[in-house]
Amino acid sequence: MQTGQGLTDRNGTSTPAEYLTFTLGKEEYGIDILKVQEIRGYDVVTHIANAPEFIKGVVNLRGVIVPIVDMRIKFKVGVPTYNEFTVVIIMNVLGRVIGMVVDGVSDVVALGPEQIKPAPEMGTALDTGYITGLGTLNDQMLILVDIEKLMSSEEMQVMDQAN
Amino acid sequence: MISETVETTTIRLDGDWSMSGVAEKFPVLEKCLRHLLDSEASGERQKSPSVGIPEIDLAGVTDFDACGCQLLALFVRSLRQNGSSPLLLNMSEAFISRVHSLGFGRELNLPL
Amino acid sequence: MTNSGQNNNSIDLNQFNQVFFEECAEHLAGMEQILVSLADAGPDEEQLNAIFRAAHSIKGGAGIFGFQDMTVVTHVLESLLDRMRNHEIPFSTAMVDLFLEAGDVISMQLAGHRDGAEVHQDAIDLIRCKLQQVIDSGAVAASIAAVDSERASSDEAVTCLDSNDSVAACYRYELEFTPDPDIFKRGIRLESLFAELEELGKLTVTAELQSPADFSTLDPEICSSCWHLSLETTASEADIRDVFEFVADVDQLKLLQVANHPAAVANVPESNRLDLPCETDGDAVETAVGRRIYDKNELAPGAYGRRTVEADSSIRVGVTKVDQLINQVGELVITQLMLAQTAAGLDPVLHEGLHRSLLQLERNTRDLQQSVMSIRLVPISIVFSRFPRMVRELASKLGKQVELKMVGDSTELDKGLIEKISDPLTHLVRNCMDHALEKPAVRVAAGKEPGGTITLRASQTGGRIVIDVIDDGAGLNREKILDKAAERGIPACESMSDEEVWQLIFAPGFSTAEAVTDISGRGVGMDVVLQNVQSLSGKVSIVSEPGQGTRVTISLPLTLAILDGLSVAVGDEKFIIPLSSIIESLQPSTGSLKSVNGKKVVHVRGDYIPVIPLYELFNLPALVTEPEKGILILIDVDGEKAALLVDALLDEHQVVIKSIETNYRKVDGTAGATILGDGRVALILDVNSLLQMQKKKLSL
Repeated sequence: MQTGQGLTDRNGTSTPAEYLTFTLGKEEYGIDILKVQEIRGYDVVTHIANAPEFIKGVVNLRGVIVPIVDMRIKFKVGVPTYNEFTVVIIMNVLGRVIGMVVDGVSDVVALGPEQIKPAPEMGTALDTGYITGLGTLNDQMLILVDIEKLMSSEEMQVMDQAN
Repeated sequence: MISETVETTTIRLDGDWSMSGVAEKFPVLEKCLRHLLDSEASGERQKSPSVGIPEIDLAGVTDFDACGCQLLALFVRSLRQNGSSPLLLNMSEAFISRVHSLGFGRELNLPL
Repeated sequence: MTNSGQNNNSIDLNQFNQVFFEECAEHLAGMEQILVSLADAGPDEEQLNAIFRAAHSIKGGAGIFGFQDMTVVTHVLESLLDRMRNHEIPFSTAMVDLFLEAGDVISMQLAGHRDGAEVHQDAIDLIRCKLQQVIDSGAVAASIAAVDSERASSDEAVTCLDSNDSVAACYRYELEFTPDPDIFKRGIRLESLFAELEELGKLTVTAELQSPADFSTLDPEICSSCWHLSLETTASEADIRDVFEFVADVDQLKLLQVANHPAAVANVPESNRLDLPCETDGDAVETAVGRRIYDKNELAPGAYGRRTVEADSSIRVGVTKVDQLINQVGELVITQLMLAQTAAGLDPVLHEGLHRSLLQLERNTRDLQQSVMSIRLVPISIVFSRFPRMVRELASKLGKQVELKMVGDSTELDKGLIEKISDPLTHLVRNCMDHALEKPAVRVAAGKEPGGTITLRASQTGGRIVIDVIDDGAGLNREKILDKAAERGIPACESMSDEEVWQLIFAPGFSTAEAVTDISGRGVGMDVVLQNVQSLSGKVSIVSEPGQGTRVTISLPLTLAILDGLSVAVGDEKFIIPLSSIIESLQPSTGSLKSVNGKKVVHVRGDYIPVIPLYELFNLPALVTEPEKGILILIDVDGEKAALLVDALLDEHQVVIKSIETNYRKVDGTAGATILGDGRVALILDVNSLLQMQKKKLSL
């Protein structure tokens, strides 16, 4: 492995990276596995006054107050139901812990650089600006999301823009 | 065999003999010591009392602190314990006074 | 191996540098404290020694840790102080300023190393010259006059003392120094250390080498040697220990005093060495190890200084570690609450033992929490101690006579508060100096003492810390304030009560100074003070009597981490309202509710108080929308009252405050969040910001 890494480094390309894949509506998305802290079920949230609808509120995660964002509401896909199958991906993004509700978590996949194509302008629920590329895996298309850029964006309203 | 008894082994030390350099210098000394002891062992097999006097040439030493001094003293002592008395060569004035000020003068047999 | 060794090295070095920086700052502060406390009479022996030792320690530490530039000023300073100790140069009052200036320069250098702050080389050179001039001239009056003609005066002190006094007894000390194995890695230069000892007298050094079991396995960066040092000197034991201050713990340095009169120095028998019993000629005093020795020497003239008993029995801990501990205890309290809540549903008769144990657990966790919180508490003297010098300097600048009194400076408050309260306090004291206190002539004309007094008083009352800044100056001028307010367009009228008028000076842009000075009165001031204090959940109030003086009172919570709160329900949500802002809660009768200009108000004891329905403000589905069916909680925000409408009152708790902003953005109307007994999050309301929200809403 050491040698392999050394070789690819010398060629100036990056090594295969691992992605956590999840579904939102009919589309399959992937985020860098290193940004994922854990996956949990949906718990009762504490509503935050005057926050946008897709910010469900905050929960107590072992003493830390964590905001929960429902991507299904934000991107108007899927049906925002909350039951024992509702999944929250807890992520570590830019030093903050944020929870993200999605339709379902599928898999962890490794994608080499050759498996990733640049994203064309197209009608995904997510703005192309937040997409790092399109991956193909077993004839299935995977939309790779730049989760840091997305979560720190003004439209998510999670972080103060001063930061 | 006679020629072997008068033969000397010169160990040249140079560069940074301070805290920041000793880690790099140590393997060299360790190798020297092993080499000297090995040849001594083989000398013994040949019933020879000594392989020669190791000389330590300090001309190239640029930095020298308590840490380096301790290492040098330990090295010299290890040589002595194995029956050879090394000679220290080409010491600068500054080097000698540094050794004295650190209290290693006696250990290294330096003139006052 | 080389790499990891070097990594360790750099990390360790930083860590130890940090210790040096902290101790250096302590020494500087200590020095300054003594200097400003000096009356015209000059320092006594003990004070002079203490100043000398501070300078000496800084110099020594700087040399050992490789901050050569810091040794330059300290060296000259030390030389001068040494001459003064030996009565070669008499004290003069002008020296105080000179020494303070030197302290500032050293502080600047320290900040340069620690924070990368800018260092002005000319300031360093200047102070060095000034100090050197004083040394060179010896005759102080003349030289000081040359250095600083403005300060030259006739008050230079005393004559030189009897020359016999300057011949100190010569001692011989035998030292056994077994350093920490990591001493090399810490970047400590034994060369500098020994060189510094040599400055004290005649030194001989012998290293004792520890033979390694096997040369090939030794770690060359570990110090395995120990040193025997023999020192003939006039210095005291404490002076010697000082050299080792940053280098060796007490148990790493054994010190034996061998002879105490000059004659004996030359002929100490070789046999009288460290490893032998020391009864030989009764001169030898065993002074090894430990605090006991220090305690004794604390009384000796040379020994006054940093190492107090307290310092020996305390440890330095990073604030992050303490905060982590506080967090963990907070978690424990929550867990305990959860347990209590679960157990509340169990039959008390059947589970008597469990209930008893839980009560015990509650007491234990409370005690633990209190103890842990107290770690963060530090005495307010840390802030107060900066004022004597400031007052002294401002007084001379302004031509006023001022006495500063400090009361209750051992009052403790949270470290986080200390840092944030120091700016507002500084501003208040400056204000007193600049505006409140009159010049001596004016005071005498008003029948007062020519010198004014500023009193700083700290105390703890209940769960709050109260800090008063009191002056006996002219008092606030009602007319002037009202005129100024009108001029600045700040709403005010003649009919306002005194209290309301005083509050005007907190308005942004308000300043009553007739001339803008560089001390205060730039128009940003009291409003910033108010803001700062409010951001700490504190309050500011003013009492003023014309001609008698003014008292500004700051009241702060004891800590920022825990809050006494009332939990209330609105719909499905629970909120915490800080008890400190609640006046009372009531169930209003239909008759007491009125509508004024479309706004709901409640009539309580003659007051019409606006009702703020929380469900409306927070857009929540509520069970109760009619005030007469719910509960009104009367709150007081800086004298302004409001009634919060909630569905129900739940419970009173002590809650641990958590930040929402760690992972999310600021939420309007809240001051943070907490975790309730059931593990859920509840938002803590910020009544001040609720009021603002309501006003904004109504004005839309």
